[in-house]
Amino acid sequence: MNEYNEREVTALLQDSATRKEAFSMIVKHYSEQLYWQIRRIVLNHDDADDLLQNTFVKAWMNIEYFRGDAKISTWLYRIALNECLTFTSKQQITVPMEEYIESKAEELADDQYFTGDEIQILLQKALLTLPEKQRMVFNMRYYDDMSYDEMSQIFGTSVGALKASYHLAAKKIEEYVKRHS
Amino acid sequence: MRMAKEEDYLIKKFGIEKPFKTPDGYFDSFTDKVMSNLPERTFVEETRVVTLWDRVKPLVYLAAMFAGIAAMFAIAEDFVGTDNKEQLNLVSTTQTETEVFQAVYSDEAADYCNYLMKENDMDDYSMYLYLENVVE
Repeated sequence: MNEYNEREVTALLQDSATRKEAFSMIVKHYSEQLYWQIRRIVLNHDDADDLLQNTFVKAWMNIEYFRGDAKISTWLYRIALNECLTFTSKQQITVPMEEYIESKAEELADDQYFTGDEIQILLQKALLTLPEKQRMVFNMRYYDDMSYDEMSQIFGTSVGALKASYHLAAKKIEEYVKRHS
Repeated sequence: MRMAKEEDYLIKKFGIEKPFKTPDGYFDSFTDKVMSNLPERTFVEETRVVTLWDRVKPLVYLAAMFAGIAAMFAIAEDFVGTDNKEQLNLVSTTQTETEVFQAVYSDEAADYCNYLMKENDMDDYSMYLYLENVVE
């Protein structure tokens, strides 16, 4: 089976004999999209790599609880975003917010895996002013054009609340950029 | 459906391309790296054998329920029976009034004997002889 088929993979997951093979297909299919979600939150490649691996290990350790009620992607996104929230909450910010944002921007400018220019650094700085969950909502919608329905299942939040969160985020970013341009 | 008013400005200024990259071949080797680092797990199959007990359990529970209801009726009947018996006892008590009267009369007889003994200056023995003659 070369083509990824969600229904077939879900069926293979239910059988312990084919579970690992199915999980390998899941890792192969979802690793890239999950990586970018995580990377946009933590910005650094090494951190994103660690969190992505943790996401799949956690998924594997709880694989028997996945019954196919939700989409595999929804389930994985939930785990990944929880990993990100745990990671960012452990990074205690002991300096003023503006100072923290400047230091992150400097790190980004020196990062060999960052390809953006000054304008992109400005956008990243604006994104850092947002609360984590709002930043996640913005990234999913802005970069991946994810539907509000799917986001609603991932976050367990109403579509209306997500729309409001997204528009508020876009407004805050615009204001920040105009203020700092 | 994109291009809400707020997005418009951002898309024009920043585009939607991600300003990040990964090490070369990162995604090509990622799956193997993850799969080789996964903890070994043994899964307990949840296939369940349906035993005879599983099959008859609902019937047994049903039977137990009916038995319980029947027992409740029997106990309730016993209580009702006890009440009846108590009523019967009351009735029988009223029916033995003659015995009560006899007891009362015997008291009166004793009083009468005492009166005779006192009036005639008789002792117990004399009274006993007197009564013996009366009975004979």
